[in-house]
Amino acid sequence: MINLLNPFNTAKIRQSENTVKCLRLFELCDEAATHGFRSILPIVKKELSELTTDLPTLKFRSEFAAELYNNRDVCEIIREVYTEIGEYLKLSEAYYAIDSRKYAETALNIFLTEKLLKIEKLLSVEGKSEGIRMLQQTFSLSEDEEFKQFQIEVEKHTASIDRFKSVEINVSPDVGMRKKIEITDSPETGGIESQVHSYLERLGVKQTEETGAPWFTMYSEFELAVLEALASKYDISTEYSSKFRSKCEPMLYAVHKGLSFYLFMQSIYEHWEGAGLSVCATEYNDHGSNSFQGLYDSILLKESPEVIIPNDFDFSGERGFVLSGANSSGKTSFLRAVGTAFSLSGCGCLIPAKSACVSPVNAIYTHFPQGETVNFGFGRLKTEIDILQGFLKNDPNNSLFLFNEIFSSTNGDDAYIYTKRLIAYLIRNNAYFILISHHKTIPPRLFADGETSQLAFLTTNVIDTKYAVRRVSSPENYENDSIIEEYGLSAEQLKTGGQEE
Amino acid sequence: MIECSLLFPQKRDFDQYLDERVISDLSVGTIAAALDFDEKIMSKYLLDFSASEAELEFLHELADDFICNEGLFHELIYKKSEFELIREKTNAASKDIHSMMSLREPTTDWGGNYTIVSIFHLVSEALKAYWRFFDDILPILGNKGFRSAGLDRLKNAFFDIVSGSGFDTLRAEISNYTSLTSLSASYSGVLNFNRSFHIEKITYETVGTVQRDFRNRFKRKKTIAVKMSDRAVNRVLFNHNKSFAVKLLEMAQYYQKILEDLYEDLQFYELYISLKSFYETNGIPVSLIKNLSAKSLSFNELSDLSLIADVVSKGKDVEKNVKSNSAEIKTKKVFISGMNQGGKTVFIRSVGIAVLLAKAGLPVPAAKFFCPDLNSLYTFFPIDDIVYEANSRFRNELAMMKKIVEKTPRNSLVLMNEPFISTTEKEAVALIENLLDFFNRHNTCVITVTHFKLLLSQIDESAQSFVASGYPSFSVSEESPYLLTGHDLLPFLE
Repeated sequence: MINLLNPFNTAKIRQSENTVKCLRLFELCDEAATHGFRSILPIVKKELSELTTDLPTLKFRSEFAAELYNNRDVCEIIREVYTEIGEYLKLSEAYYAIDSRKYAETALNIFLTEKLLKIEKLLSVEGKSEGIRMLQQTFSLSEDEEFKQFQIEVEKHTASIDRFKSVEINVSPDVGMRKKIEITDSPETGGIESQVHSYLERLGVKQTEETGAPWFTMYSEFELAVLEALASKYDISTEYSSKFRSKCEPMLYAVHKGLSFYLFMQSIYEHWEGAGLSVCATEYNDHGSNSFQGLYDSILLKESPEVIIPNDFDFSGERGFVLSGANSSGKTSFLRAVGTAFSLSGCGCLIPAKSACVSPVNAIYTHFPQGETVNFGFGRLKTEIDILQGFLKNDPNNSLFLFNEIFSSTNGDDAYIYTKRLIAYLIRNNAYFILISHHKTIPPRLFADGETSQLAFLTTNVIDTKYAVRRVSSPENYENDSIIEEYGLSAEQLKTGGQEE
Repeated sequence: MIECSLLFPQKRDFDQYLDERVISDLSVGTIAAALDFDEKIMSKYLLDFSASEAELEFLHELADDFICNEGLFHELIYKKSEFELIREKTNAASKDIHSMMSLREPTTDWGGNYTIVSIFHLVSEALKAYWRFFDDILPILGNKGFRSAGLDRLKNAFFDIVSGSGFDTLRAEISNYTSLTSLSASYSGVLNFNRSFHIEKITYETVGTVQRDFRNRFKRKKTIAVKMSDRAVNRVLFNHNKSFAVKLLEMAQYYQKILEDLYEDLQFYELYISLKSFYETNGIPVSLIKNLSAKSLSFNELSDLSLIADVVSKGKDVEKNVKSNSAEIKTKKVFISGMNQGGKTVFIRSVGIAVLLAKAGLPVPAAKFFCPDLNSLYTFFPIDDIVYEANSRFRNELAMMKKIVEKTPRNSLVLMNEPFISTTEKEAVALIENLLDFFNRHNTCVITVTHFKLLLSQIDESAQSFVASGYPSFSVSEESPYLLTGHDLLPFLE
């Protein structure tokens, strides 16, 4: 069975809810969901919160996504295929929702034949990705024996149904929608459809809104009764075609589900692109090389594209990073950008960057500050530590840890001791991490300790009026901008604020 | 409308409502859940910070009255469900009457009036139920066991309603009206009509007279005569019925409002009583605050009510898990420091909740609690990072503080829990010091929980320092700031 989401059936690891929440992964979907994809949000959310380290799977997914993104003609074709399948499945669901209509079944078969042939034709593009090839292979039906047999059956039934054009419907006079219906041959009746319409009109039954679908999708009891009468008169048997259809439909569902995810994500990429931002496919490796060029925090797009500042970042050399910098200088954004990039590339999606090289991680753990009153009877620090302990229950090897303002709920000295021990533990266990500390003294103290062979320091200090994250040989000192003044809380403002007692 | 409230016979000052953040910062929801009380209603009482001493005295006296006569109080409370049933009936009738009012004439000759008679039936049943209700609760309110002035006022007000002149007339009218079963038999008196069939007053005998008269005039067209007379009478009946139904409905709605107010006010006393019994069941001392003239905030054996609520809801032992504190807040700058998980937050939360309870006129979980007449209470607790939008955490904290400073709190209390940890210590300490000076100038006391050594090392005589000792006593006592470090909270990293 074709599976565009997990082609090689490899195991996936579910990301923790906290990570998804901190990285605001699902918020990425908001924009795309408003464009008519709301119904498939659960599929997308599930996919986005599952990681895999299986390189063939990741390459498969990423290549397919990249092909759709880079070649819009192909993307349009895939969209059309998706729509065609969707239309068929919708009709098929409607068909199963009603009880007995052999005539409808035949029409459904015709519809399926048309759709399959159309999709096969649509897919005759030159595709580079394995995904396209997989689709082409699945839909190369014109030479398929089973499909040929199906077509023959369908044609046979269609011929019987042609006879429906010259029949007359006779309804027993005491009316009601449940009355007995008799069918007689009569060449000049104008077909069943018009007879049903005019009969319903006489009864004062209003037609349902125009759906463009064949008339048998109107499910009044009367119509069903007509279909039943037709089927029994002309003895339409659809046994073979039912079998073929029930074999075909799961495949169509699988393709539809897979494509819905790729197309959903495609609309997210297009949203980023529309804001003038870059999107790229990840180059995967399995030797721990991680680097990003032009990486940005796409959540900021909710505010405005102007606030987005892309960063280059290279993990090679060290496993751990301590990031410091002034308030509002983009530290959290950077952390989120890295987390999102690893997350998206861990599920084979394109990422918000110019280029990226990623060695997939086993898990991503995020720790962002917690509010008060979360955990009664335990201090804030204890709650923080409990969360940390929860992370470390699993093997930290090849996992990514993102710590934002860790240990901020204790004093600088304790925070330093805890941070130092945590860093040593993570390095010892081959984890990757980025750590933001608000205790200004911690980075210099860590540096002074000298145990920094696996540790690098980053800063968001301003160069050329831009906040970009850069590597520094030793932690840089920084001064906060006077944002306090913006809020009317500077010493001067507070002195003059309010009326003196 | 009845000029009597069980909360306080004066209108409250809505300007003195606290910021709703106080509720979440102090975990009032946990308390409400433990008491099985509606959090919104509880918050409404707690956020009202306008109480004066007179009001507190009134509330405590009334509460005491209810507690001494617990049986009577419960009788009143249990009758609420009965009242709610009557209210439903009144609402249904009101809906029907409003749709009836839009009709200018009866829909069919007699049909319209039949409908209105059935609505009548509904309203009058509701009204009668209200009367029975008053008959039931008046003896309760008038019970000699009740001694408070508040209940006395209420009782008198209720007697006034029930014995008012309009009340008896209407009662007689309605019982007369609804005792008759058929429409044509519902009216008696004299019917006057002129040629345009204007009928001023309807009586039963003359319904027949009108019909006879019509029949005489149109002898040869008997059917038409009957129809015309019917229509004329019917129209008058309809208009008469409409206005009578509205009158009844207004009366029913008047009763409804009075009883709604009564039950809304009684909820406060339900809360009062359940809080008091909650303390007693869990061995917590109770203080009733009637006096707001204390110079400073001070207390003995004060516990954190939300912690108690949490402990109780988890089925743990309160005595073992909740520690009380005693302190006297003599200065405007108070610092709480101490080891992690030592009970700092619990301490300021206990103070915050106690002040809220005291000002709301509810019992405080302390052996002694003295409270000055504060104008307001503000809380400044760290907030969850995830709720942030693109702004930084520090910006959010500044924005929150700006809101407080803009209100220029005077003679108030501000509780800050680890403020400004999202910036560097140096900047945070400078900011906190400036803020403390600002609040001090406005005679506002600030209790600050902090880890900033820079801040703690600068404490002088103008400030007080309390230290949370942590395990095993978890007590908070007045002593020099806590500046130690190095507790191993990360054994799992070995």
